[in-house]
Amino acid sequence: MLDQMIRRAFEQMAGSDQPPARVSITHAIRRARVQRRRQALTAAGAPVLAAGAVVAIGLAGVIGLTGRAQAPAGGSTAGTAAAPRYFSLLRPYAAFGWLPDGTSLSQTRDGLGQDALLLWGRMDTHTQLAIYAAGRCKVSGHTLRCNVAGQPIASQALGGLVGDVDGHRAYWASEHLSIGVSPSLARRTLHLTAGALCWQYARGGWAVLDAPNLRDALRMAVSIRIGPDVSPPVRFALQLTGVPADWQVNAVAAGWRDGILYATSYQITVGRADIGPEGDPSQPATPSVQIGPGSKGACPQAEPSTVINGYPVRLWGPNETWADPELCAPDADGLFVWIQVSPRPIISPAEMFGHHLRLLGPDPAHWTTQPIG
Amino acid sequence: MSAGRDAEFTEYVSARLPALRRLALLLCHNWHGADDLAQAAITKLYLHWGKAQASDSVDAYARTILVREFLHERRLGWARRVTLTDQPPEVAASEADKDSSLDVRAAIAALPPRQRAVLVLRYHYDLNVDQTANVLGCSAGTVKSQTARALAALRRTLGTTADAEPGPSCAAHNHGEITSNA
Repeated sequence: MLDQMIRRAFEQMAGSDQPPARVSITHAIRRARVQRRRQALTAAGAPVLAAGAVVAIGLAGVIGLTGRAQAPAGGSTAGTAAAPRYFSLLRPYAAFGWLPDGTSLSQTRDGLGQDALLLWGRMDTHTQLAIYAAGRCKVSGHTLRCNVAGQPIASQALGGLVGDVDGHRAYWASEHLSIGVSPSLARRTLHLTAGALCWQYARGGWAVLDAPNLRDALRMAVSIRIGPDVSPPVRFALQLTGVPADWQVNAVAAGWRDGILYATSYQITVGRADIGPEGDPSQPATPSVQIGPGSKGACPQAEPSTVINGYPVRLWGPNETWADPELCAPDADGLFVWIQVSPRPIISPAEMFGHHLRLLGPDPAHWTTQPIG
Repeated sequence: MSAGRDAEFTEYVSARLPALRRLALLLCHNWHGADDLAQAAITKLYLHWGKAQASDSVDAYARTILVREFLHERRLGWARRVTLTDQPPEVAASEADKDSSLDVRAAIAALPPRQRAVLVLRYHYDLNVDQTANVLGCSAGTVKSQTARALAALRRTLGTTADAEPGPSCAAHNHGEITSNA
C-alpha cells in the first residue's frame, strides 16, 4: 500500500501542469563556459579565490547606482594608486553598480578572499567580477595570467582594446582561448556573445569581468567601484567567543538585507587554511559555521531534536547520509543557525552552539563586524 | 565547443527540458527549486556533453547529472537551508486524493535528499537497485538501506494508514530488493 501511495504521489506531481520555465539554455552554455575555464585551472591544484556574489538589484538599490553608468568612486582606482597586496575578508573591496536589465537575484552571496575577490550573480546570470590583489596577475604576450596562493587560477587571452574603464585600458578576452593562442585568433573571437573584460584597476591589480556581451560588460565595468571604502563592512549575527586564538575566519558568504551587508555564512579554520573551490564555505577546513539570520530556514524534520541553552535544535551526523556532524537551530533568539563541522571534528556543533556562540538577535543594528570576539 | 555541438546541445535540451524539470520537481517539490536545479543540471550537462553523447543514453546521463546535482546542492548547507521546508508542496492534488496525497508528498518532502532521490528513482522511474546505485554513485547496499530508511520514515510520518495496509512483497514490483521492513 505504501509503495502505491508513493507512486501515486509522484505521478500526480509529475502530471501537473508545468509553469513557464525559468531555465535558460543560453545562460547554461555561458555559465558552463565560465565554469569550465575555472575548473580547468583549479584542477591544476589551485586553492581558489575567495568567492562571492553581489546582487544585481539589491546592491544597486543600496549604493544608488541604478540604470546609469558612473565613474568609480574611491581613491584606489586612481591612475598611480597601487592595488592592495591582500583583501580583507570582512569588507568587500569592490561593488557592482549597474547590472543588465532583467538581472534579478533571489539570494545574494558574497565571498571575500585575501588574494582575490570574486563577485557573482545567481546561476542564471553568469556575471562575475574577479578582482586580483597586487602582483597576482601578469601579462605575457597577449595572455593575462593570474595566480592565487602561488597557484595559477585564471588565464585570459586578451583580445582587442575595446575602451577604457576609469582611464585604464580595457581588453575583451575570449572565453576559451588557452595560453599561447595567437592574437589574431583572439581578435577574431570578439564577436562571441560571452567573454570577459579585463583591465588594470590599479597599479599591479587586475579586474576580470565575465559578462554576457561586450556592450553590457563595458557599461557594468564603468559603474563598478573598487576600493577600500566602496562597501560597508560585513556584519555578523553571531559571534564566536572563547575559542582558541588561532581560529580565524577563512571565507565569508554575504548578502544584502535592508541596506545591511551581512554574513549568511562563514567558515572558521584553525590557522590559515586553503579554502575550497570558489571559496565555498561548503567545502571547508574545520570547523565551518553557517548562519542564516532570517526566517526562511527550516531544519530537517527527520533529525532528532534536543534543547541547548533553551533553544530547540536538531543534531545529526556523521552517518551514512551526512558525513559531517551538523546542528540546526530554527529559532535561536530570532536567528536561524546551521553549524557544520568538517572534516576534522575538533569541536562538536553542540559544544560550539552551547558554549562558544553569542547570539546577537534578529536586529541588524546589534550585529557585529567582528565574527570572533 | 563548436557551434554545431552547441546546436545539438540546444536541440536536445529544448526537447527534453520538460522531462528534466519534471524530475527536478519530484526531487525539489517546488517549481522554483526545480528550475534552479534544472538550470544547474543543464549547465553541467553542457560541460560533459561529449561524454553524454558518447554514452548509451543521453537521457540517462542527463538524469544522473540532475540527481547528483540535487544531492550535491543539498550537501551544501545553503541549499538545504533555503529549500528544506515542511510546507505542503506546490503541486495541486486532485480533490479525491487531496488529503492522503498531500500527506504523502509532505512526508516525502521531509525525507533527507538521498532517501527522496532513491524513492523517485525506484518508484517513479522504476529503476532497480543497481541502476539506482549507478545514478547515485553509491553501492547497491546503500540504495537498499536508504530505501528501507525512507519507507520506515514514511510509515512513521503517515502513521496507521500505511501500517494498516502493508504493501505487497518486494518481488511484486520487480525492483530488486526493496525492503519493506525497516
